[in-house]
Amino acid sequence: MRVRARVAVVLGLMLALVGAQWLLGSWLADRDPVAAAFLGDYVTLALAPALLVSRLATVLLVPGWVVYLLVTTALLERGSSPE
Amino acid sequence: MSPRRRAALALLCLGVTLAVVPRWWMGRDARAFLAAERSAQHELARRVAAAIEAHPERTFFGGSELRFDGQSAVAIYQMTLLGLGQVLLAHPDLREQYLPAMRLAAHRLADPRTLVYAGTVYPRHGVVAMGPREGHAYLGYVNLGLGMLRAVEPETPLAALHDRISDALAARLFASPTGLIETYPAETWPPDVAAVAGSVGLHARVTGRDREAQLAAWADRFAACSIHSSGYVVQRVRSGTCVPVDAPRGSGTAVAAYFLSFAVRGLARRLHEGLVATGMRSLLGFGALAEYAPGFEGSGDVNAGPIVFGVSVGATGFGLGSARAHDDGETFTRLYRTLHLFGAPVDDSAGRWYATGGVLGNALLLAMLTARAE
Repeated sequence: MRVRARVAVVLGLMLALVGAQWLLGSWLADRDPVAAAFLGDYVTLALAPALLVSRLATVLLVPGWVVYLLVTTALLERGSSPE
Repeated sequence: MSPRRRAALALLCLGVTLAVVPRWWMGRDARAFLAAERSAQHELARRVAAAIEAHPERTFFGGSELRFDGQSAVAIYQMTLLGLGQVLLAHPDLREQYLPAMRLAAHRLADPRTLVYAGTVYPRHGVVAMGPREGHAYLGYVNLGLGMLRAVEPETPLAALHDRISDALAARLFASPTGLIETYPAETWPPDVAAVAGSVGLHARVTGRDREAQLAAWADRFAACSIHSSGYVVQRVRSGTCVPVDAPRGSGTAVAAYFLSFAVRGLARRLHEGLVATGMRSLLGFGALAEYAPGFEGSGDVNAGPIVFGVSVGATGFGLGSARAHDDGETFTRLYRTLHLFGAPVDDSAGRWYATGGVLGNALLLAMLTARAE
């Protein structure tokens, strides 16, 4: 049960992160970050790098974090098991 | 578990996943573009075509800079034409869907009011008339677009204009002792000249003319004058000479390798190989191309885009087209992973759109991702 709960939390966070990125990407896709530089659209100019940093972190760190959580949870579960 | 063991386990998990997951996750679509799969090309093409058809004006950015505004519009229309044309050559059944956007892009591209700047530095815009000592190499971009329209619609009303521009540019190119002609008065940019040569080669291909010997002779002069020992193309030289006034640059080399793939395959391949040997930077399966040849440095500009850790958006983006045109799957896949990560593709009912690219970036990517290896 404990493993399942942790996996659910991790997957929920993953989905929330990917969903937020999709929303931000869709919002940016309706604008033009290149034109924003000429039009003085500072909101678009600020959100484009935010999306990139968030994607970079997601791709590089999240998979390792998920695997680490799953492994430590499984070890913990095994260690606390009455068997 | 002790904190030390826990930290070691965390590092192990991070290391293993870093080596496997990002390259797989970000590279999933590379194979589809490499194989010219219909769905991959069609999804991006229909969104780019829709963006062009929905845009009510000739230019896009409405900035105060007359030159950049016109040149960026020319690039958008040219890349749209090249991209959609390449899609149609691979999938002729999509012809009726994309020809309207191509016709619109071609008419705006050939309209002297799109690049007003050319008519302010020359007596007249080159589409209207070209004086005998005037280079007008910016027309290479226009002419490549017209050539691609003609490749998929030989009966286009713009065929006569395409013939006239091609003949005028070919005469200038083949008569030049350096292989170079001016883009604007006192400005000579070898990558622009590569666009001119590419357009002359594409014109020869679509009209059945034989210009192979002339283009081969031109290629020798161009290589002697413009290719640095690093394999990179010099970005700019002093007019009438081979004296560099800018560094050998990755963005110019990559786009020249793509443009020349329409005209002189041997020279195009030489540029691509130089680009990869000198400029390729890789980490965890992600690739990017250095903007400046070793021993040179500088900042980003409209050609390179932003430069981060020495690699540029321009060189990497154009490098996709060069890799695709030369059937270099490994380089293409590495560069594509980087594009997928930082381009932030959004797929919805309208098609695919790289969120950080805007209309210029997406038109350019359509041309690069669908470049043909024939």
